[in-house]
Amino acid sequence: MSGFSVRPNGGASADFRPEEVRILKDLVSQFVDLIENRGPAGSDPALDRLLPDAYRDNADNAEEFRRFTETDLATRKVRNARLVLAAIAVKPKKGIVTATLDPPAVQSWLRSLTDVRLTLASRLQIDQDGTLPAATDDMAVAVYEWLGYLQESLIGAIDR
Amino acid sequence: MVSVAQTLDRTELEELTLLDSPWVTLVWNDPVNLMSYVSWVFRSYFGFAHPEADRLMLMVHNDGRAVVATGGREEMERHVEALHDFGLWATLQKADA
Repeated sequence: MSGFSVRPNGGASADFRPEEVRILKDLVSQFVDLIENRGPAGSDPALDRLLPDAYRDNADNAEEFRRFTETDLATRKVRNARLVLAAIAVKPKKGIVTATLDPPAVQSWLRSLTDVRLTLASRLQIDQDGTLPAATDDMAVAVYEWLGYLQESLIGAIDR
Repeated sequence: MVSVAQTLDRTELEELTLLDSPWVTLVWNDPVNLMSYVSWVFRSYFGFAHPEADRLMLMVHNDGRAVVATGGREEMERHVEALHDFGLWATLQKADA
């Protein structure tokens, strides 16, 4: 696991081992399914965080905002996720997949890594302080932390 | 004695004042988003300089929320939608609410 490094054109690239590619592909594909087959607001805490109410104090305004924006937002989240999937669907060299991102793909990856981390945090029931429940799947936590590392490295690569 | 015309003028003024009453965009703390990412969003979306972006990011982190923009309602709705696109937890409300 190397994280992202900067490329001369304002893009970034990272190498992934086969198991990392598999995990990323699995999670991002699940995210696409979650968004595309989503229920109404209030049916899933993860979705309520991904597509939150824009008004905290006025349900009618929140509903109206949702009616006008949710489809576009959901479409963009799916498009970002598909760009992540496309970047890791390249032929491995000596078992290593190199994801090469141009600047627009960087933008999609930053957003999609956020979306997947938000979803995973909701499933892991990480509370407002960032504390994990006692009985938590170690593997899931490791994956969550890895995605955070990946995102941090991508910000570091482009934000200079 | 107040004429009808003057009363109308005053009503219009009051409505204008209501329409112009500012709204704010708030960003709320969450346990997931990285501090570096939130600061980067504030710089790349709002065009804030590094110190201002970091100041607002730390305000979100320490106080639980920060006002990141003030203005008309439609403009604040555009900001909130853009911030949701970035995965930040943003809402809008009347400035005096």
